[in-house]
Amino acid sequence: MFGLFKKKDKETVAEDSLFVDMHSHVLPGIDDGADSPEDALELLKAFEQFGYKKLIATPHIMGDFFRNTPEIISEKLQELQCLIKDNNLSIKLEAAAEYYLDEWFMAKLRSGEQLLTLGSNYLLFETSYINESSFLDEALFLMKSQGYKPVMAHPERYTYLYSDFSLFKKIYEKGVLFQVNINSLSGYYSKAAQVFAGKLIDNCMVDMLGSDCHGIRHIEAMKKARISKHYKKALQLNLLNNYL
Amino acid sequence: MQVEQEVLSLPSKETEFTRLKRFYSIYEKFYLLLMEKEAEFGIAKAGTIPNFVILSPALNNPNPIYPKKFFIYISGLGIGIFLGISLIAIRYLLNDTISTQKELERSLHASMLGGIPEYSKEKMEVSKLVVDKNPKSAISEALRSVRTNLEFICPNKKKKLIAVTSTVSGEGKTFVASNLSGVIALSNQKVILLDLDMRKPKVHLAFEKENFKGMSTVLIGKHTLEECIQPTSISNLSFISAGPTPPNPSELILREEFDLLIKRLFEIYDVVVIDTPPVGLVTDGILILRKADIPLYVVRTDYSKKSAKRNINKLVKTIPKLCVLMNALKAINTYGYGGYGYGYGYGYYEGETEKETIISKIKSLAGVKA
Repeated sequence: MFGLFKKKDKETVAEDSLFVDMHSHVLPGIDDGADSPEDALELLKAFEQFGYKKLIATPHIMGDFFRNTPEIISEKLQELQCLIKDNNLSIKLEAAAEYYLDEWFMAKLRSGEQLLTLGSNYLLFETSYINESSFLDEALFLMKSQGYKPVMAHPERYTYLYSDFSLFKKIYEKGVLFQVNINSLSGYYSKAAQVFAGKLIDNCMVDMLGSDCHGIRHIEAMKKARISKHYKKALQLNLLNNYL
Repeated sequence: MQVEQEVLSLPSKETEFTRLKRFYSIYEKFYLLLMEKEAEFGIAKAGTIPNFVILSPALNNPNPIYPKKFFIYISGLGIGIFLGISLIAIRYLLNDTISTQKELERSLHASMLGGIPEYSKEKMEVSKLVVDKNPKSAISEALRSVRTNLEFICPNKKKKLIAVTSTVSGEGKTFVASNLSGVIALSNQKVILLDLDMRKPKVHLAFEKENFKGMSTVLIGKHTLEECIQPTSISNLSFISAGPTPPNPSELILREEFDLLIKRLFEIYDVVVIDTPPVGLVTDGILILRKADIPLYVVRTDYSKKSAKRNINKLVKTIPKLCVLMNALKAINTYGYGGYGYGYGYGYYEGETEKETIISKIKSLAGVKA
């Protein structure tokens, strides 16, 4: 009885809109996202206007360019949280990371180092955009064997999957969750990304929607994406966003 | 009285009668003439026989018997199909280059390491180091993923010898060698790049340095190794240029000094990358490929010939570790069958290049050289 009610409740929430964004680069100065705390604040305000209640910042962690550590991230998070308080914003801010699938990420997985996760052990990772990673299978195995739930960031933007839609299915069937970028739905990145994002939604292969917001340009683009047909369709899916 | 009257009118009646009689005789004559003529013509008509016979009346056919519409349409369609097919066939036969990654992968026995997008910012006369200038570009991103994949091919090995080759020159061998060295160096490994393409040395051009001494002079013992190592803009990356072209490049590589040199370099460096001569023409490249931990074969989109694939498949028999890298993937999404081709869309961190590419596309369409 309780379960039944809970499920119904969940569905109505999901239908309304997204309250939680789980992929953004708002923490200032540590990756290619927001440059300054002022920029970050501007982005947070914009998210609040969109109706978001919670934002999970996911800075890049990449071996050669963005050598972020949990310490750096939590420090930046606290700074920005203070700023939120000072400016009387109501949006909640948390932080995880977007791991790039490279040698360093593999090393972290092999050593069993504690990784930054969102919600209940969801691990956000991205791969190269152009070339398929030879380590994907091993990485997925290591992630799952350590109790993480792997979430692949913006699969619709990986051109190495473009030759055939079945490649997406193959990866999805390995037990990865897919996070699609909201801005892909309006063709912001490319026509191909839009088409594949749409196909993923049509095939119910989307588990999370993320803004992947790097700056105000993405906020502007989101205004267009949020009225697209596939955005509305995606909200009908059982997205995990609002439970994070 | 009455009789008298009548007698008196007789002469006038007489004249009237003769007048009418004259008219009567004229008409009678004329009528007889016509009768006569009619009889004459009737006889003439009856005497003429036509020299033809109408068997059946003429048919009124609404469709022209010539030109035959149907025949023209059919032959037009046939010629159209034929021309279309022959155009495709001619283009297919003339296009003997490899144009997509999919095409390359098909029936390739070597493992595919990945692709690198075309460098489209400017026209490059000589290969250049680009990964340090724009670490966020699609090329850097692609090369980094190649580096990660190299780790997969050759795991748990601290010291690595990578040899880069291609079928002929111009396929991006030096570009790949220098930039791949660059991204490896950026990952905190000490890297040295050796230019062994002594016939057409190019590596020093990529780093904008001199080529008075280098591999050739080291191998003949004229200079020491230390003298020839040149620094680059990336702190972990050094290189040795090819040096002056020797008369016998293959012999120099065969010498024992070469193996010793590699051994010595591994005392200082983690990774040695060799820009190898193209293997399509000369054999010295193959010798180096055999020694390499990771032999890399560069194929360039729309430039390398399809025969390169045969060459690779032949090489794989003796060098099973051989990996293939596709250079200069096209940036434009081509709507082909089954997907979108191998366009890579916009830069890795989009936003920085999006508008630029649209403008540059228009420019290139208009024939303006940027």
